[in-house]
Amino acid sequence: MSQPEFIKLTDEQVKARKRRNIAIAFGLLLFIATVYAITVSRMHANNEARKAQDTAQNIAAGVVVPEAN
Amino acid sequence: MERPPFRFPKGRPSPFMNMTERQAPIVTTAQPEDFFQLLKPRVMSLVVFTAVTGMIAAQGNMPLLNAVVAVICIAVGAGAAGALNMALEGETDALMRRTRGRPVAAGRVRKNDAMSFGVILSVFSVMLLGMTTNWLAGGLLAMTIVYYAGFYTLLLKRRTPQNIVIGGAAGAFPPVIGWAAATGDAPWQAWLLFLIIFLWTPPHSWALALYSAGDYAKAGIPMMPVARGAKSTRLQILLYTLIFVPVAIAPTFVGVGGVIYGVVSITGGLFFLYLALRLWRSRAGDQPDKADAIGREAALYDVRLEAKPARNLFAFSILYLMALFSALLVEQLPIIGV
Repeated sequence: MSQPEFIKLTDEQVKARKRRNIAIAFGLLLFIATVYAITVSRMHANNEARKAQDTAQNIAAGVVVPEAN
Repeated sequence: MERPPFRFPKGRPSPFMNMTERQAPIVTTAQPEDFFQLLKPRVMSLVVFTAVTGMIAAQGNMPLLNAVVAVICIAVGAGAAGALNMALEGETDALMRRTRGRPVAAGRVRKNDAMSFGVILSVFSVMLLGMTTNWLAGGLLAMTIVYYAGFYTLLLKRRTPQNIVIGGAAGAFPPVIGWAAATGDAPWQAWLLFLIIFLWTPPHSWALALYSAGDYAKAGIPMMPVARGAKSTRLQILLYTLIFVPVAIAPTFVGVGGVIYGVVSITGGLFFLYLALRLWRSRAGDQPDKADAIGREAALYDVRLEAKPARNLFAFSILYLMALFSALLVEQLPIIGV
């Protein structure tokens, strides 16, 4: 059975591909880090908003919440 | 002498045509820098500048991290539209001195690669902007990309001399997106900033086209000087300037701009008008650029003596827009506590 033929890459093509791959990896890492940071930031903001809402509801209902030690 | 009507050259390149001669090989030696060039970094910097101005002028209450990510998303979205434009316009770009060094036109990046790159960045930038700020901002960014890459590049650019007038809206959206990202709203003040860039675009682009009309004609793009002649273009530049300058000054009187903005917009606006008047009275663009007696091609941005008023207006238009938005930024800085 004959061996399939493949394109033989030149050194320049291999180097360029390696550089592109590094750039893609860097871009992906940056994207993941950004999504993570934004998720944490938004969760924090939402938690603060929920706490403020709960406090306002408690005050309106006259409920006294003991402060945590 | 009566100017013959504009005709598209026979066999004009189409964005749907397969690239043959200049198509990069399947395994390319494209560098990351080539892909960065696809994003049109100089246009991107202007987009970032106007978007940040819109964001700060909105005086929203936005965490710094979200603001930074939003600006990056807007910049990448604008860049993605640029990549799609280059992918679709590779053959046309190859015909013009100003654009023939672009990665797709020069054959360094394959058309399909540029297209994929543009689509992926578009999707990611819109999604991330929507998640980070709000979906009004994300939607406006998506609309800008579709408007520029689809409506302007595929439909308008080759069909009408008004291409730059209608297509200019794409470049005018960033301050509105910035405003929407900061507040979740796009009030009339944001649209006033939009209107400034929208009305600035025709005099700016046509002034450039007056001294590079030969390239546009060769590429089959019906820019105003090619389609209607230099005299008509000079008149239209003046008419647009007469509308643009009052609009540029308007923020002073409606509470968007303050004293600094007022001084900059009025003095700069009067000078803009003076340059447009000088251009109107000149003969700029009457002699299309062409190869000289020994067949040597004129260098890019070589300006004939009679075309200097066009070059002056083009250069000052960039400075004026920068000055307007810088004035808005400077005035807002004390409010945000910097």
